[in-house]
Amino acid sequence: MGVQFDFDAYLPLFTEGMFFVLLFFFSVYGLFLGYHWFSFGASRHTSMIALTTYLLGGAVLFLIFAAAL
Amino acid sequence: MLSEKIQLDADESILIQVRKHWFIIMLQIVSVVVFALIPLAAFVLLKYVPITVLPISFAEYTPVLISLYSGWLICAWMALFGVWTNYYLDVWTITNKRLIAVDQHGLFNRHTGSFRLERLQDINVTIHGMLATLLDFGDLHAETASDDRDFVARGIPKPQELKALILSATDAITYAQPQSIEKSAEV
Repeated sequence: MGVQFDFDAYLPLFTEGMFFVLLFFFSVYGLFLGYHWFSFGASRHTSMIALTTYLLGGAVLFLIFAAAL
Repeated sequence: MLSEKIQLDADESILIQVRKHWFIIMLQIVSVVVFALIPLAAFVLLKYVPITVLPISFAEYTPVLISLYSGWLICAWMALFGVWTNYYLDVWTITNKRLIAVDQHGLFNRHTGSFRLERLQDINVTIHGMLATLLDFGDLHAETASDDRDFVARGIPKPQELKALILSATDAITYAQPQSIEKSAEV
């Protein structure tokens, strides 16, 4: 008598786990980018626009991800 | 910011700041966009595969597929900003006294070097290929009196104009020095 792996039961757990792992990496990467832009960038204004774009674009993608969960 | 870290002398001014040519970053952005579209292209191709061949039905897993594709797009979004960061932080600053080169290779790999223009020995421009010739970008190689390191800026726009600017700034320093020595000798 073999054990049947229920793929469908683990799928929501996998996607939710992926969501939080990606959220963690996105936030940490954003911190690194922000540090580099504001420390070594040539213009504070450009760095601010870049950080806002990064966060807003990421927020939209994470919202789509969360809505589909 | 970079300008605060450079710490210019009182009589020093920035002549120009140069980054890579737009075509270089455009190529990298296009590769990230292609990477972002790969799953979409695969999905479109799979629509032509007969339903009996595929083990699963896509309609059943639509929310999961949207989640996975959003995750893929988030990775592409992060890669895009990584590319832009390399472009933004990789900069040559030319002042009327020095050349300051910041080479950014990835997020945690950067090299900053500078030399005084009077130490400049030779400066060469290399333009490779048809596109580089048409779009006017190439490599600029500055040799200094020091044995430590030569300075190479790759894929910069209008390299001949930049070379002319560096040479004229170097000439201004070189021809100004004898006068200042003569003046100090007179005093």
